[in-house]
Amino acid sequence: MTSRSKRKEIITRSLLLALFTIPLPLFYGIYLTRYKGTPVPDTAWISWYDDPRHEVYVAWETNANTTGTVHFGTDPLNLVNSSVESMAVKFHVVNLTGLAPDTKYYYRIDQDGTTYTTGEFRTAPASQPEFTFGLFADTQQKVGPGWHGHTAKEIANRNYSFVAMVGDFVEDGEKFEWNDFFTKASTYLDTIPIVPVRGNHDKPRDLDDDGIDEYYFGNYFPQTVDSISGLNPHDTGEQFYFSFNWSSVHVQVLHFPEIDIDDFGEPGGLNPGDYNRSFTADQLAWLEADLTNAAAMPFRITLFHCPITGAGFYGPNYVLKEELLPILQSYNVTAVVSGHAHHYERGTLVNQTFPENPLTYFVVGCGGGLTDIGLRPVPETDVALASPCFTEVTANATYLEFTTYGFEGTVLDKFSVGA
Amino acid sequence: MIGTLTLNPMVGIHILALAQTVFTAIYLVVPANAKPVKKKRQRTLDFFRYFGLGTLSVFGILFMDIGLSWLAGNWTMTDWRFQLPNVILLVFLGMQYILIVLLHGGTILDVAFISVVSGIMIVFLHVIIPSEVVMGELLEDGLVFLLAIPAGIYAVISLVKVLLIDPRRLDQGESRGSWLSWDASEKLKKIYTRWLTVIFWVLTTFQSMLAFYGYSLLTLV
Repeated sequence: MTSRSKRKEIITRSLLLALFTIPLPLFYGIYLTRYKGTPVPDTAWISWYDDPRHEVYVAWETNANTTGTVHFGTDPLNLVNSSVESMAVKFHVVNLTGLAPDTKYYYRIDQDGTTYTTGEFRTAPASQPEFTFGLFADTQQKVGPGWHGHTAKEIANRNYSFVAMVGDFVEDGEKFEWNDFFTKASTYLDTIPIVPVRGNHDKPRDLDDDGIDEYYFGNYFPQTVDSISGLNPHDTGEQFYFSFNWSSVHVQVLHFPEIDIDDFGEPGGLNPGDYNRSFTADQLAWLEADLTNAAAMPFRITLFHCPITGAGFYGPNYVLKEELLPILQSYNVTAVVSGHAHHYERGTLVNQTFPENPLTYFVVGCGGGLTDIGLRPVPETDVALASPCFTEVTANATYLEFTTYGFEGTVLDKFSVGA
Repeated sequence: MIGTLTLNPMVGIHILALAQTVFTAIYLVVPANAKPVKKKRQRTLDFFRYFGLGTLSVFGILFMDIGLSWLAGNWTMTDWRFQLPNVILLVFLGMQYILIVLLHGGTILDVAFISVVSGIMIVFLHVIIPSEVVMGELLEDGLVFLLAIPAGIYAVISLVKVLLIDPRRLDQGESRGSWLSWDASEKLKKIYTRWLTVIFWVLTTFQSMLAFYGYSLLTLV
């Protein structure tokens, strides 16, 4: 072989090598760089503490400390009410009070003389008309399949009174992950309020090793930290629980921080003794008192992240089964909804003590993260599947219907409960 | 329906895409008819060739397990449009990665290695893990060892092949690439052609990229 043809062969092989080895690493590099560089989106969201008939809050984030003004009213062309922030902040929360039930409101956020964003919402009704809301969980993107964007688009096309996100918005708690969540959720947040449930991945973390935990979940959803402002008398700082009525449904949001089962057995994490402290007396006392107050409501739905049982990787949670389940059943809770396991599941929890009150449970962990595969149905499992999906709940005074949709409107499961 | 545990094909496709990239580059770019080099250097090259292919075969076993487990029953619980392309690629290429070890210098050691690793992986994924109350953590921790330990063992096998088996074969007038007791290499080479390697490289690469955005080759159709 001449030196010229040898050189030609070397060049050809080098080009071939580049052709086959560069595209994938290059794509991964670009994808991760873009993902990690996701900016703070220009979006705001509506949520509430315990009375969405008369009071909600609007929240948003800015890159720098700013002071915002929220103009709101029932006429989009004449927003007669306004609320001004008292100090410049990055994580903005403005309470909108004195609202009328079952009324559509429009709002506009102004910052530095310019409009930041606009949106609308409807307050909870005082009576019990039919309404729908959405349920999903576990949107963790990371190396996931990117399904949260699709879920968000599906939800945006529906006329929901609110969506409940049942925990694990993010995987590692990094800021760009939150930016990614809100970027995708922005497709519906301007018209659909969000009810947050804290997942184990949403916990405070010391991301920059300065000895201080960043707690973005608390920054975005001040239900967690409003013991400081005194707006939520039930909040005890670290724990996170509240409830509200919407039409015929009483919705409870719980969180038991000590039973994040992912931490079990890890250095510095949980040990079996911690399970004894899983349920603090104040949260359990609040839970029972709240269920007592809601006894007259046709339906009671309790949301918390880690499921009582399920076909996923984590199996049954015996502490929840033994300590929480009897309470929920004794107060005739209609359904519990969790995430954590990345699949959809519906099942029936029968309790020896209260056999007349079986409890329907849902796992709605297919909101965007990698779905589980190799499900291991437990005796309580009625339906289990691992498709990307979200659950729609339609409620009126006499029935509650859960419909789980895959993408493009495919109905994956349907279940009804009478009052 | 067999509700058996396995890795998610959505994860498997990313590992497979990287494996196929490496495989394609070596298969197409490294000269197959390179001139013989010095004996010591030849041994080093042979060692890395054996070791690389052996490691690939360990992943091949995992890929096959992921794909076949899904086909065995998990498809009933998923939106198949997202998983089926992953599964087809995992099964087809996983099989190729196993066969390629046997094609290039396969010995009784390779047959034993692949049999034992397959057995251990099947028992671990489908017997030990499902018997745990909390499956997730043991799966994540155990799988790392399950991939790393066989790779280490195959490094030893590669040494044995380079230092003991190959010299004996050459003394007996056989080539390094000969089969132990049967020869299906020509037939298989007709199946696993260079063009097919490139086609599968394109498919795995695109499928991996699409997965990050919540699409698959089938959802685009």
